[in-house]
Amino acid sequence: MTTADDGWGELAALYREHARLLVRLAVLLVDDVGIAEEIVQDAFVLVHRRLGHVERPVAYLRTTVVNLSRSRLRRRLVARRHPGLVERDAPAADERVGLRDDQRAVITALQRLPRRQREVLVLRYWSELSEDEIAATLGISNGSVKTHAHRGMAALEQELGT
Amino acid sequence: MTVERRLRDAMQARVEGVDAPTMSIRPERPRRVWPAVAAGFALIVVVAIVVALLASGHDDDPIPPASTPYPSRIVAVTTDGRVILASSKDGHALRTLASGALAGGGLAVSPDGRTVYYAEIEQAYCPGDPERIPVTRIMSIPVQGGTPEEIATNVRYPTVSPDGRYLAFTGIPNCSDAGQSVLVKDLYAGARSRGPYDGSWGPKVFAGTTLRGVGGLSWAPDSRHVLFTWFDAPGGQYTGVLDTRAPNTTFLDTSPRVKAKVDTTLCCYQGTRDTLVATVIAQDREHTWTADPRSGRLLDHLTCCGTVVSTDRAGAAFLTYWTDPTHPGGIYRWTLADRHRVFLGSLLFTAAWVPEAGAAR
Repeated sequence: MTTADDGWGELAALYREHARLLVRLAVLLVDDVGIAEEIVQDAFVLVHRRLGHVERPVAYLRTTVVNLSRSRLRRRLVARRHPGLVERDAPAADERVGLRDDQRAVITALQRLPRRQREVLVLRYWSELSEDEIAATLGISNGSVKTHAHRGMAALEQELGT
Repeated sequence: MTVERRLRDAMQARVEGVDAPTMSIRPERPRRVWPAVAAGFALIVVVAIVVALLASGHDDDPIPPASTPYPSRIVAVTTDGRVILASSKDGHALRTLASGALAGGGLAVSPDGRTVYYAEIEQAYCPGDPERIPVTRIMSIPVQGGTPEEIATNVRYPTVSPDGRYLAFTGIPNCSDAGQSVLVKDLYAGARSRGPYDGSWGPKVFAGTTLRGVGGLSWAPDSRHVLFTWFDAPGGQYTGVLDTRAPNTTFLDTSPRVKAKVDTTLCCYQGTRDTLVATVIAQDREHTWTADPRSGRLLDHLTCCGTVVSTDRAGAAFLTYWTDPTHPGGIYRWTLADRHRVFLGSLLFTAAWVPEAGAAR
């Protein structure tokens, strides 16, 4: 039997099941819904090339989303240094309108954390990943996960004054 | 309220109501700043091509011999499963060779530039396979067109040795007794197999019983060693080198630092005739690592290319898959000489150089 599906059906099923959570993960990493949507679309394009070759496509997608988010943040830094570039360096103002002041303060503090600390905290407290899963996603050791989590929480406590 | 609870609460509130957009992940070209100029230029190119074709008097080989530092033609598998011959100058299709191919199943061209090997979808997936991996068989077809011929079933990722004698490929996991081993077939050894792997059509040179995710096959210039990748969850991907005549396997540097670099890897041999130099591509990090597969030592790295899907014989011209928000997703040409990406087509899923006739080693 021959089919011309080429994995698009499988990809569509993955998309239906996981895209929303991945967009939300990317939002917490880049603080911009539009950019988060682009990142997830790109991640699915990449994973399509690996279907049948990647044993755990969801884990692969999550790692790719984290890596692409990192690239976008790096580009945002460049844009800040070179104001002529078109890269948006702040989220749309209305994206945080629904937040209470205290929630907005937490999100702002989260975004100010060093990149690795922010990634670890988001993966642990929002994605609810285990230490092993976070280590595999970020390509770092379990010890580093603990260190970044500890430092990140300490920085948040200090920033939020609790 | 603890910081942890405040963090959870704020993150939940931040993403409340955020939903995934409608799936539209087939990449498209971004808008051009000067569409009218571009359209005019395209018209000129089309007219020039038509005039050239008319002047040539036949369409057997519409692209003249290369005067460029890379082969003039590529073969590619499109997103809708067609195997096409295309110009490497601008990616325009010269002819369709076959259909029904698995876009991600691999593609290879013999070193004499005459035969294309690709993975055709045989059935949607093996009965009872929980992972529902598409089952493919490897077919061959002449670059000039003709009838596809079956080479082997339940396999994919074909790769031809530089001397043209051997075809390496992998088994389909959960589907055949070959598992996901690296397999090698002697193309000179008489009749071609038409059944599932049974050992009769070539040595099963590597039984990867403990390996998973085997892929990224690439021959060394000596037509003896095969570079491949595999992974051990949750650690990431490794790169190994198989000696097809021994057979034994050497693994490249598996230190955490290197493993982290190659955790999403394709790989290919690049290069020189006597030294075995492997190029390891860490896709998401856009790095190409060069390593000595005999010692496993990393030699150098190059930031260039996105996902490299094919290198030319000299290791100086790459076909790459690239996508980011500022570039249309698809196949690009990239050479060491000019070091910038030239877009060839968003509908091309994978591609391979077609070596120029008479240029074989």
